[in-house]
Amino acid sequence: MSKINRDVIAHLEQLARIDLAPDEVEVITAQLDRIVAMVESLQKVDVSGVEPTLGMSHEVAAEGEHVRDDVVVPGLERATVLEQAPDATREFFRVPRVLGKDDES
Amino acid sequence: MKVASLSIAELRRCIAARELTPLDACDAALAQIDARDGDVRAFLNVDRDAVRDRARQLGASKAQNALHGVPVAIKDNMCIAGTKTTCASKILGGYQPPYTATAVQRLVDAGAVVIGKTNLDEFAMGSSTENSAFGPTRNPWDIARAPGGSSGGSAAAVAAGMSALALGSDTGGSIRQPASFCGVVGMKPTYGRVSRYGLVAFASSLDQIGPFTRSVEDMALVLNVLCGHDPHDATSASAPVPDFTGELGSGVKGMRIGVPFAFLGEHVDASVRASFETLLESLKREGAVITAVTLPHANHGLAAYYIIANAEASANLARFDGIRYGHRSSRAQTLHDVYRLTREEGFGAEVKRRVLLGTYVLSAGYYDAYYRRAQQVRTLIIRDFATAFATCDAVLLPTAPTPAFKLGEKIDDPILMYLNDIFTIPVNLAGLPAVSVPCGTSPEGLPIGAQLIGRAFDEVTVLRAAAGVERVSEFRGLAV
Repeated sequence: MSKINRDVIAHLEQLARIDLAPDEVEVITAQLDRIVAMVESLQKVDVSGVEPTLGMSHEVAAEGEHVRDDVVVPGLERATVLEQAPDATREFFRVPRVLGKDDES
Repeated sequence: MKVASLSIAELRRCIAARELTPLDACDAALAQIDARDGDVRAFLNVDRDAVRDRARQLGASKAQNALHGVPVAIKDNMCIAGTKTTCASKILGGYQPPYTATAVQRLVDAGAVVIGKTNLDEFAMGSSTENSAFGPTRNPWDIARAPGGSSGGSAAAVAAGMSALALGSDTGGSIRQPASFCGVVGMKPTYGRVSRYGLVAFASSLDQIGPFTRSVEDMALVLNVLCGHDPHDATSASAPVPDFTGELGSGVKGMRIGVPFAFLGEHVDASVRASFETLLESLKREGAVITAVTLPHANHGLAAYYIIANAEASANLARFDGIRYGHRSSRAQTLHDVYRLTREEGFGAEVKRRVLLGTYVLSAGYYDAYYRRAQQVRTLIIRDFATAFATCDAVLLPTAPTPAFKLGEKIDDPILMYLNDIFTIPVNLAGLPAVSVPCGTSPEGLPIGAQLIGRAFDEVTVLRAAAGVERVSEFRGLAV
């Protein structure tokens, strides 16, 4: 039973803000369907009453010792950060218009 | 004596005794890069002038730090201020980070010389270093074969004498599997042992930086420099950092080595099985006690991993959007276009596949069925290891089910590729320390690695057992 079809992929492309190239759609649809079928094997595991592990930090920060003092420390200079941007003014990142007939978000 | 083949311990001794200068050590590595890297393509970037300038400065200084003059290659997903960092992706095109990863800084502060940045699977997603926007790295033992991955460039560099030391990152086996394929020692320390500050994140609850070396002793020497709490990484551990060389000479006599025979049974190629069985016999002769243990949920590690890792990746890779750094599509007319077209052009197929899968398992209606369930299975795997460590000091498994495979052999079948990591993934899910040590060669003459896994923060015991494996295996590295 196939879970991943073209419609699901189109929805995921929209959610993840990634367009697939036309030649990628068919291959990736088929591969993702197989991968989802593979991870379906977890449905067979008895997990009743088992707490989920949310991350590894619980092990590290058990004592709460990594809660740092709440003080402001200098970060990177604005100019240093903007230097890496594909498009920027002296103060801000610059992007194309946000509202428009092609905009889906 | 060929300088490029010296271990870190030998380099240190020679440099301290003034038999060699840091420049001799770096020139030997650079000469080896000239001789081999046209074929192997381990490096994405080598700045020869900067390497030689730094080596000359170290030669003129009186300091004798732990890694004085030792060349180190850095996987290109770790930031070095002012040096291009690509993650082997087009989407970072031209990015020069304004800061340096703590792990790199610690090595540099100890006198190491960064020799270059190494190739990887894009954003560390892969097991063969074929998913690089800059082309694959080749295995120096046989250039028709993959070096493993994702840290394949770093593993190949150390194997071929192009650097005495390299750093990699390991999210599901990305240090240990290439170490096994390339016949070097590669270690993923306990989650939190090494700061991840400046490592471009793939899956934050699984990622860990670790070294590649040519000996277990070298591994311990480097961990002494690398480990420790970092205020820039709130997940880095403040557990005391011991002297990792402490138990190297203790031998395996009396050590209880746990082997999960049932887990091992289903997945292993004949040459790997043969060398693993020989290793068990040798360890017994040395006085180790081989104990059967079970990891009943380890079989589900792969599925749990592909949910958890890709869920985290889909969030972490959201930052590559064409706004703040790297590539932006020139076709974009609106803000929405900037996101979707930049990411279409910038990401390769494997990254797209994983981000879409991560998006799927986190999307409305599927969260409990996939993500939460995978985290529950993660808990069961952590418990399996805890139970095993009640009756043994270290767990022993092959690192990978096969020796190095041919380039192109698995790249079109993601699931076949993922099976490479079946023995390494449960360790990341449990956050434990593990090292791959060469333990034999296949009939074709390819290296085979054994993996030793320890309790959290017990790298000392892992390294003691690894030194034992190294001693009984008498593996010979690639002639340089």
